[in-house]
Amino acid sequence: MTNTAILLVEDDVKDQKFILKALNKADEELDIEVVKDAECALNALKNGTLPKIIITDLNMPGMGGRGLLDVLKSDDRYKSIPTIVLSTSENESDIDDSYSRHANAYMVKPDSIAGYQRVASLLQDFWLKEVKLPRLVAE
Amino acid sequence: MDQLNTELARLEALREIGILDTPPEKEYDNLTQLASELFDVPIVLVSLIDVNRQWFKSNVGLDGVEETPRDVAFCHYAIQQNQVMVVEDALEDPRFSENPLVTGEPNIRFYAGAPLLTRHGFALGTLCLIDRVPRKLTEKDVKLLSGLANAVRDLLEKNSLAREVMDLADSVKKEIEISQSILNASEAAILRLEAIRNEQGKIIDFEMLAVNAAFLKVTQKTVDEIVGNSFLDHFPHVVETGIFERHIQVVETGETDVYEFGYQADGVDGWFRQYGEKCGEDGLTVSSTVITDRKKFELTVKALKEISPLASSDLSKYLEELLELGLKTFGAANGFVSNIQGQNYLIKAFVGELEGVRAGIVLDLKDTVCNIVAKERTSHVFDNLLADDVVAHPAVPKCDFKSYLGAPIFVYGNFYGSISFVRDTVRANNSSNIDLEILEIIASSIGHAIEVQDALQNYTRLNEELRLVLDNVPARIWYKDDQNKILRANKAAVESAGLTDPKEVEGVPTEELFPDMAEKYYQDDQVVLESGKPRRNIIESYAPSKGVEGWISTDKIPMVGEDGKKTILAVANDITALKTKEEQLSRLNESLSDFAFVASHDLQAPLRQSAMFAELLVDELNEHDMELPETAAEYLSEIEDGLRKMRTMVRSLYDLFKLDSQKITKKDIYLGEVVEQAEKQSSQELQAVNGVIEKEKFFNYPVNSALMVQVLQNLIVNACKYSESDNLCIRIYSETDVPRRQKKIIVEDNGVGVPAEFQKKIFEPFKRLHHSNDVEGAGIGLALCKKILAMHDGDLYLDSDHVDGARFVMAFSY
Repeated sequence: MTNTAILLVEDDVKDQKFILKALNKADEELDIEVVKDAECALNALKNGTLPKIIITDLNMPGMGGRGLLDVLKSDDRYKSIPTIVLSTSENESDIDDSYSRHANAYMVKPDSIAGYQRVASLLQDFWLKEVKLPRLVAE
Repeated sequence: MDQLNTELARLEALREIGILDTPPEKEYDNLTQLASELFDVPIVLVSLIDVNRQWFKSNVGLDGVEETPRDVAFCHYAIQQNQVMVVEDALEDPRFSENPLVTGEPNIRFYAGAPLLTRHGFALGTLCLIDRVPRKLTEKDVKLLSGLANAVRDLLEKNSLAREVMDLADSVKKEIEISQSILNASEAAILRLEAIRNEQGKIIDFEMLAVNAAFLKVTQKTVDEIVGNSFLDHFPHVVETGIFERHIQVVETGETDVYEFGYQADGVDGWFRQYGEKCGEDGLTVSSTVITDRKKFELTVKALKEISPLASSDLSKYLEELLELGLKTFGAANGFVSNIQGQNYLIKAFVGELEGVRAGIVLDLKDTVCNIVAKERTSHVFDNLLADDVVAHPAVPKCDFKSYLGAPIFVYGNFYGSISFVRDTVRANNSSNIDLEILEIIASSIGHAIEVQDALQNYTRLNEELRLVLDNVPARIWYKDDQNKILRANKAAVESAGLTDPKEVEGVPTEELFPDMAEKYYQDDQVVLESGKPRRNIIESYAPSKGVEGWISTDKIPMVGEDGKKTILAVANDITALKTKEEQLSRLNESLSDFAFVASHDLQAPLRQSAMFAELLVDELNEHDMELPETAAEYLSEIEDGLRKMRTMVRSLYDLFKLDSQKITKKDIYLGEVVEQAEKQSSQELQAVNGVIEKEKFFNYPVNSALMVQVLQNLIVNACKYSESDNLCIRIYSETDVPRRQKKIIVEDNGVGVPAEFQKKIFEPFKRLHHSNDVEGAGIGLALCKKILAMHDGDLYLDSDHVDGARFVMAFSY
């Protein structure tokens, strides 16, 4: 059992770097586990990782972000974990679709470093500091 | 029989004898004279008793007295008894003593009357003796008187018989006269024939018993030549014409015979309709009507029918044939057909013996007899041109001919010219009327022929023109019947089937030319024929057995042929090249579009990331207080700038191609709503330049409202960007352009406008008017807007006529 704050699901290594850098800049202590796709994310969860929030990309090889949402939100163990979509897509259909799969928030990947820092601090301030999260019980 | 009836019958008998009031006759006078001497009396009378008088047929002794009243007559009493009545002394007889003839002149004293008794017992009157002195008669005298009376009676009866015979003869004579006059009044030639038989009883000839005047006229013979003479001697031609045999049949069978024949022999020339009827024991009466005129008419009309104006395309040959017919019919020497215009008499056709006259020669109308026909527009016949009244006629010129026959020709109801016949001899006038009628028929035939010729020429020319037009049309035109048989085709069609002559395909079944496609074509034909509606733009394969294969686009139109049958007009265009190109283009477009879409999508991520790494690079340098040399810093900045621009452009490209790859949905909405929405979404930009929008009425149109809002928003934002003043006013209104069938939304502003040199370029992707640093945007907006309009069957363009600002027109077809 680790004290994981964020499970980051992102296939693009460069985007991993941007988000990690921005999040670490906001809080150096933050415990972030990074996986490269949905399947890995589910494995990590199965293996005991219990993050406060999950940040996932949409378009990835394999089941992708949509598949991950479907599994998480239909599983009593995970469905209460706030799951935030972070995607390059601005398509309304992607946004609608994500919420219909019960995503808790949808954010567009920023175009700049400043943008990433803003997203990182928002995530941290809101989801990790301000919000009261449910209790999670590990298996 | 009562007394009255007896008296009436007696009077009737007296009338029948017819003696009353006839002049004295010697036979009676001789008898009365004889009685006067025989009996020695002064007065003897033959007295006949009429209704109320006694009339004396013979009178001795009463000179000048013809009759006396019946009531005083002694004879009145005498006829009432059937024997001699004797009054010896009238003064002594109470019946007569007061009678004025007794008391006065002639002072009758003695009277003896013997009744004149007919065979039927009627006493018509008396033979009576009268004396002025009383006398007596011996028995012998009475007998004698009675005998004399019988003699008078016989005389009366004999006279009456003679008169009857004479009357009979008179009436017979009268009847004969009537019959003869009837016979003579008949136009038919009548001949009475009596058979002459040989020893075997076979009819070998006829005796001509009687004829009428018409017969004599027709045969040009006299009564004496005919009556009592041999039929065969005078008319030997009857044997070979079969007429003789027909006459024999009438006599032998008693059956009436009707027969028409022409007879040109024995001094006779003409056509006849003959009626033969048996007459008496061994003869017949033949009545022959002259039908020469009718026959002439019939023969001419028949000949006229056989001369067809369509037989040859040469009208003058037809005219010459008609003229030949006219010469024969009218017995003329020269015939003309002319076209008369003004005073010009143009000879169109001539048949005859005149030297130097031929078709094409122009005469002066005034020098021809046709002058009168042209003037009066009616037919004319002059049997004798030298007759006084003709010579005096102002419209008839002097000429070398003796007779003339001419009629006007009308074409389409207008006077065209004349047909005329002349000869050097005077005409017999008996057939002028029929000749004129025939000539008028020939003239109207010519008129019709010219009309037909005219119509035919027009038709031929029209046909040729049409054929020329059709043959020069690149489309392949097939005209077929309802059973897939080709009726006609144009040159393009024929050549496409690998043939050269349009005649080659006429009547050919489609299978022969298109073995693989005929069935498909036939099915299409049937659909069109059954629905009665054309089918357009049928794209189908074209595979002739000869010729070049390919693709065609065919229009099939149902038609009705000349005999009312259904037909099909197929107009096909070769679209092989077009279709090939279209397919290539479509493939090319697809791959291009796909490529551009995928490229613009996939390029976005690395570009975005590269730009951010450039940022990170700068951040890292700053964090570590490292300063790049000035030039290197400048280069880095250029890299950042280039990456940013490239990102924007790729993003815009993606938007543009994305539009292609997604199907847009349209809904019929009121475009005013779209304008409102766009205005709302541009409120920030409007406020920034203090802009206002004036809106008017709009229309409904099926659009994708989100895209349309995007267009309008783009236009409004553009107007704001290029306003350069504090009081921007945007006018948005609609217009209907009927000539172009477009409905328009016009966005007009009072900004800087678009300089002429940029007007076209603004719709190209990545073109902008301002320097990139002054105004934001990738410059793809208007290209995208134009594309959105195109996806709505419309267009977006700049109205270059507008000078005070910019005027953009969103045009929708309707």
